Amino acid sequence: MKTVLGLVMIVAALVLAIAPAFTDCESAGKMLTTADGRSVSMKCHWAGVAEVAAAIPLGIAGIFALRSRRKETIRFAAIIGVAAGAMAVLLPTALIGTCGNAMMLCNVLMKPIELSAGIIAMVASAALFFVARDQEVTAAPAVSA
Amino acid sequence: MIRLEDVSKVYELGKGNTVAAVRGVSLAIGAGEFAAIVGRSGSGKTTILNLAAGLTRPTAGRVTFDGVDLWKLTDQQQSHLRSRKIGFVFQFPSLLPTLTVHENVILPTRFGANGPSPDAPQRAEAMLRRVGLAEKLSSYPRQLSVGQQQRVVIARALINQPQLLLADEPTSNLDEKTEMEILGLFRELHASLGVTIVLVTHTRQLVTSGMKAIEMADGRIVEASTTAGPAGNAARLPLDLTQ
Amino acid sequence: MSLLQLAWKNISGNRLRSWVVVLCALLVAAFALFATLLLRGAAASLELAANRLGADIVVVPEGAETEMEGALLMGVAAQFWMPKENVAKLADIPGVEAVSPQIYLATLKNASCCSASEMFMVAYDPQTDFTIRPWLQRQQHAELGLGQVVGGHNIFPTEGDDGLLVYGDVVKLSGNLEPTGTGLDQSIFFTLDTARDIARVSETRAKQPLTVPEDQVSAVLLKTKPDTNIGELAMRIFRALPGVYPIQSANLFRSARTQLNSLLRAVVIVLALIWPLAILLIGMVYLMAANERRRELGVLRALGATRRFIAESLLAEAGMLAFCGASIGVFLAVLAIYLFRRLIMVSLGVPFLLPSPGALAVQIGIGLLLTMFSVFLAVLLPAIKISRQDPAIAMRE
Repeated sequence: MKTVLGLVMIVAALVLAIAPAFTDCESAGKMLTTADGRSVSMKCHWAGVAEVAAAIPLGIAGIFALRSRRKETIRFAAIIGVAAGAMAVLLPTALIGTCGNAMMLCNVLMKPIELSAGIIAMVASAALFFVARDQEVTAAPAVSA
Repeated sequence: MIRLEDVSKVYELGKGNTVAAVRGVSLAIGAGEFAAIVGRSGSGKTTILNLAAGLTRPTAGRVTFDGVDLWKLTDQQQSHLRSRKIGFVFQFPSLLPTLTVHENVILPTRFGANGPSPDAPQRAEAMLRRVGLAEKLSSYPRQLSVGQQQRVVIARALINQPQLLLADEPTSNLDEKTEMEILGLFRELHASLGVTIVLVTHTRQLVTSGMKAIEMADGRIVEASTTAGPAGNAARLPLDLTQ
Repeated sequence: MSLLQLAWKNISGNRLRSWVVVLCALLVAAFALFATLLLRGAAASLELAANRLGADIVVVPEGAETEMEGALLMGVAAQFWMPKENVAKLADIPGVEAVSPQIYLATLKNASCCSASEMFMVAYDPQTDFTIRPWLQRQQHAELGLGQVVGGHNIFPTEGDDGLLVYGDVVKLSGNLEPTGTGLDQSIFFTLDTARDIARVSETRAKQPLTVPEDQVSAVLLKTKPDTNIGELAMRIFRALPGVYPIQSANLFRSARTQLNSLLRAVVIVLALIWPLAILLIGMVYLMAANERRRELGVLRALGATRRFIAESLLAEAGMLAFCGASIGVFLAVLAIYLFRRLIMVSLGVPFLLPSPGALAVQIGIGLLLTMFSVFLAVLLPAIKISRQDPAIAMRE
């Protein structure tokens, strides 16, 4: 079970990190033109970049969940996973946000994908917290001199 | 207590094939007796036990418990009777693997007309202490040896203080030392609780003094006797043990 | 130990079998609820949009029907014209109670003089209008004055607190209309006078001036007299005015309705495949379980369990798994519909409106119950069969 949950966390982390590159408005060629004629990225782009900051701890937590045999470590990874997932949800909503027009690509595709991945990461991490238990470690046989 | 009157059991194997496991057996086991049914594999010993417990319907004849025809009872009444009055020790590993030792022993108390009694956990603990497994309450069956599992099965069979204990080759998978320990346990329980025990075995050597020995072959009783005590007073019994 | 506790222990004891049942229940519940929400949401949206127009017949230039539908449904900017004299001609046709012209405009694409690119704009005649003013009254907005606009639900100010930049002219956003889930949510509405004012300002301030022709209109909305047969009136219009197409309100959004019907057909087919497969799979899983646990169930009977207890414990197991799977499925379906609703609209070309919380709760409840009923159905026969096994035969090797 912890293996499955760990894998879910890792996949969610990859989605959070990679999806914005293909689904923000900038990927469709839309940028903001300033008064002096420069093109700058819109806030959905920055929300996507910030998602990497949520994806990294989530991915690491997922790896720990896969490899660790200790209940405390797994539970710690689960807590990090919940926090990272929550951040992934807050970034394109409350913290940075996306473009105002509801039908722009970032709102149609990027934001739903990030929110889904964030929510799934939170649920998987919460489940991991409750299923964590000490795994039996097979001791290496003693070797006599 | 338990009476089989001219009972036969024929199993249908499909495609018109049948096997007569028991043929015209009449048998009575009185309260407080310790009987052993011996015979080779396929002689019908296990079927006799199943018939006595109402676990299979006789093709012919009657099975009564304290004078009541088992097959005139409803399924609920029969199940209640099995739960409260009959304990069963099986030949195969019969503990539920998903339950702990303690939960396995409590299980029979769940069935019965009035549901589980509030003191069932304590009774289960006491029974496990009696069979020497008090420290294994939270263990799962896979964590016990075969001998230990059989002790738990005995504790489970006795949790409801049944009047009758049916044991189907309870020691067949055990080593000699453990086998003797288990038989010793049966004897001790018979002496202290006064429970009627019917033990099925293929080993005549397990039949000890004071036991009623019933030999079966090919679905019929071929010999019945009470075993000799130290003074050597063995007696041959009539084949129709209802007389 | 209660029935449910025993069922839970059995579930934990065989993870693979339990996950198969959970997955089947999850798929059935998720797909059924997702499809229901999608179809009902699309139908509700179409209904709302058609009602919002308020017209019995919408007359557009012949060949512009699809463009009209695209504009109203998806907010795709459309511009088409017909002679303004058609308005008076239509008013004279017997059976017509009221007529009101509308002009359809669009902002420029990616131009700095417009705050929204290619936004659909509707200019109406306040003297004759009978569609937009009722919306304004229902939502307690005042009549629109010069330089004022009302926006669909998704329109927001970009210049200060309540301004929108349209062809270099800042217009005041007086309010927003209730959502319809259609392109009307991305559109703005103003009077013909405001349209001409914007056109005047655009000559000097916009990248490209806005043209509002004096002698042309885009569409004429018709209200019919009571007891008039709308179909016959449409035929009279067709004969009286060549070059126009009268769209009856019942036929409005015809292509969207056709799309919806195709979608419905596809959903029914997929559900008709998934549902029986899931039931068969669950039934098979429990028959296999019956075989595997044959001896264990025989032991339970020997310990005093009734046939009814055996059947009930299997049904309890299946019920718990079904509830778990259905709950997860329902949660995923609602999450998917809520988060991806705009993508669904764009990909499928159908409008969509989320149901109210009450309606959603009812649909969720129905989804859960139907899934659990399906699982019970699947497990019932195996449970009865297992419970009726001769315990002695069940315990034999």
